[in-house]
Amino acid sequence: MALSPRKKTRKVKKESPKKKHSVISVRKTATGPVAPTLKRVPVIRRSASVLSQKQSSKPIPEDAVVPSGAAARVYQEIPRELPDNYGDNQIYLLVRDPHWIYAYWEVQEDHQRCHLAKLGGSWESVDSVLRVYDTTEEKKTPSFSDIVLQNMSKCWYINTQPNHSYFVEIGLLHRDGRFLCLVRSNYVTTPRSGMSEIIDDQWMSIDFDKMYALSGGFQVGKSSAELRRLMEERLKNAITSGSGAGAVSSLSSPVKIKQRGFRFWLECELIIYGGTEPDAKVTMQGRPVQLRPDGTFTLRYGLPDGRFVFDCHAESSDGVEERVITPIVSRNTERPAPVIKTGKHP
Amino acid sequence: MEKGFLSIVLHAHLPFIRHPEHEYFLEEAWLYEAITETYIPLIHIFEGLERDRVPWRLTMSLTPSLMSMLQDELLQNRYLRHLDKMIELANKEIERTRFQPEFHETALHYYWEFTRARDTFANRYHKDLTQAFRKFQDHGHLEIITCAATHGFLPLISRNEGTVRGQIKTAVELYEKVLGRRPIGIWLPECGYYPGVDKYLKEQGIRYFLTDTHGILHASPRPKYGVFAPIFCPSGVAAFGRDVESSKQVWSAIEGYPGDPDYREFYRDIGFELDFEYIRPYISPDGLRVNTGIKYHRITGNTEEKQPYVRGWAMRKATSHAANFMFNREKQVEYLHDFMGRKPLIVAPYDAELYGHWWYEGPEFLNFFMRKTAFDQKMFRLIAPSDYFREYPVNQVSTPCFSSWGWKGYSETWLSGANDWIYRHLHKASLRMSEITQKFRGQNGTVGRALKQAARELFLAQSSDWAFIMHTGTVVPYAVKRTKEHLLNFTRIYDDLMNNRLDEGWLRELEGKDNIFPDLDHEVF
Repeated sequence: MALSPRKKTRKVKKESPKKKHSVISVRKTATGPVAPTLKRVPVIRRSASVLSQKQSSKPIPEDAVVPSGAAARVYQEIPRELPDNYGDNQIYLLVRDPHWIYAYWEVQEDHQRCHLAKLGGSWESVDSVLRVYDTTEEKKTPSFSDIVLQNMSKCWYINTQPNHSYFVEIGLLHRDGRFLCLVRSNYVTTPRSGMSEIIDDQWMSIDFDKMYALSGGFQVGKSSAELRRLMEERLKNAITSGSGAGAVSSLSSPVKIKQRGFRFWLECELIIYGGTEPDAKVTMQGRPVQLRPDGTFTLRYGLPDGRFVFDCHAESSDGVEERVITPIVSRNTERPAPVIKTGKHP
Repeated sequence: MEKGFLSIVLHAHLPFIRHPEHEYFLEEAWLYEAITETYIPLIHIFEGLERDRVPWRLTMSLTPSLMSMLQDELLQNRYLRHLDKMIELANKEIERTRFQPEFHETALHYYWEFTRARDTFANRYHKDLTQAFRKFQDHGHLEIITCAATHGFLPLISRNEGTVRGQIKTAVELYEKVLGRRPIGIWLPECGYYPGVDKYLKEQGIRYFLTDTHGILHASPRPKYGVFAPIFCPSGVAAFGRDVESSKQVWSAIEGYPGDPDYREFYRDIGFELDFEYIRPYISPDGLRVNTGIKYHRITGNTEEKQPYVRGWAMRKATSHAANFMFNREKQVEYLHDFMGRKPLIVAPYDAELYGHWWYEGPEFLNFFMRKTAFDQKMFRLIAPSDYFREYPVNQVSTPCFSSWGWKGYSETWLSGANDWIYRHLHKASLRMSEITQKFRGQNGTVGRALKQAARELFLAQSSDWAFIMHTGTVVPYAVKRTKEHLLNFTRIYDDLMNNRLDEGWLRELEGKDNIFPDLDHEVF
């Protein structure tokens, strides 16, 4: 799984904003004043199969399909896809784990163009960047790094440090170092990946390393992950018992010869059926048999190897007459050794 | 006097799956299987413990979506229909196996289990199993805790306050309606905790929640007693951490009990094995083979040649595993007690459905364990988390670490390339929910109904189950469909409200279909 997006990171201190940077990931086109960066309806990365792959060149406002005041039957034409774009200018951060945060955003074309104008109006000298600020040390000016955005990207996984705080901006970075923020995110803090460095004296007269170990602390990455994976697999199997039939059946094939994946099994069942007067009493091996309204009946047995005597009685409803029919069935299965036809091997 | 405590916590959850528009719906079977194999067997065990006056204490979360399904009339009747089919099949199986003694006993066992389940479900609890659980809580044996309304993974949907507050408040209100009191504890969905979420719990009077091990261990300041004592968040809500050792004994591939050769093999189901024409009435109407729940083999070992299941052997193994589990807890408690200078609390949380549905003998294991614990040892006592504060009201104040009990311990399961696309839509919908709530505040009639339905659709879209399924890659199309459908329903209500063109007929149809939380208070947004 591609967890780490292709990205280009630069650690830039505020003191040296004019440091020359290289642009490798944005393809500049000469087709017009506006470069493709951030401009078109973006492709959803890695999720094209679940969302529409349609790449319209115009954002689709979600209410465009149903004109206001439209009659009720227009509702049948409701789009069954979610909108690609909500018309917002925003960016939002989610924490995935100590080492990754996830950003998604929307920046509208006019919003970009308006800012671009302030930087001279030419995409030739400007990059779209995702600027990641580390605000962990509160008193210091936050350090930041820039990620030059790919064409039309809409979201990004950003590599982080555990227990650090971040916010990000999407902005336009001019060659001369000027940066104009288009959207700014929320603040997030990544989880720590180990024990806290803060100790509460009132509560700390204990060998914490040992306490940590006894609590399974040194197994946190390993064993809790292992356990949870197992549990997830179990759950996955559990909840697919119905509809994940493909997965289940492939696991549950009764007899497998693993090397070639060729499977062959055979079971034997015996069907005994008959009929009598609808009000007669029928027994098989002494147990009553349920008759259909027309007096017929069917019995079905798994038949292992061996000889079986089926003792079937019918008694008339007035109890005057009894008849007995006793089929005797024997099954004997032979299993010759498998034959491998070597000549036919592909 | 005991030297420590053990809390067993079973998390019972299924996503809200209810399709009145289809006569038969495959995924609804998740509920039916869980009822037959987990919930009813647990109820039988609890009844047995009460009958025999065994002092027992167990904690269970019943999620609002599960409670809603258990109380839904359509699903209740469909379950009964399903169970009747199973009884019919088990009956046929008794005959079919008459000349195969190695299977016949097991066939009789299923017939007995299914008919007993029917009696419990239909006759004794009048199709509403929540009232069985309520009874055990009212008797002081079972502590039932709640969960977020639709099991939304809170760290990833907390974009606005209304969403989290709505998930919690809606859950608490349903709990109160169904169980007649307010919940004292909560199972955060997937144990997903982020600093600050406790504030919303406190608002609803919830006293504690559960986290995974590292949620406590990596709390700050350092928690003196590790996971063996709760900590108080600065808000005053307590956090209990999962014990690794007791989890591992149940779930480890190597040391775990459920993999024992004598236990029932999950993957050998007659739904996949018997003659098609014979089994056809009991599988999917389109002919797709599915599990029926009748399985005749034991795990046997690492082989394809599975041997017949012998119920007696499996029960004997469950007793010895219960004894082993008890012995290990005694040792663990004794050691920790001496080291800590205080009674440790071991918290052992599990997915409830893994007892019975996956580990077929799991409920019996619990049964034997609780009986043995009550009578055969004095080292530890079974308690519910809330009981702990009676013994130790003073606990360390510390902020738990962002964590979950998912793969790798954080959010990756619900935020990966397979499912990250959902969040921009979920967030947008929750912001819009707040927007329309403000705009139309206080309105009743159709507008009020539309607001409530919008909140239902939003909650249903937020179920962590959909992202989970997308991540694990099992029934992905269904999970994608559910996510989109609820979001699109939400969006349509939003658009209709904003454009003053609500379609009452359509709304009524939707209310009938996605009928969770009939008394929902949308003003929370």
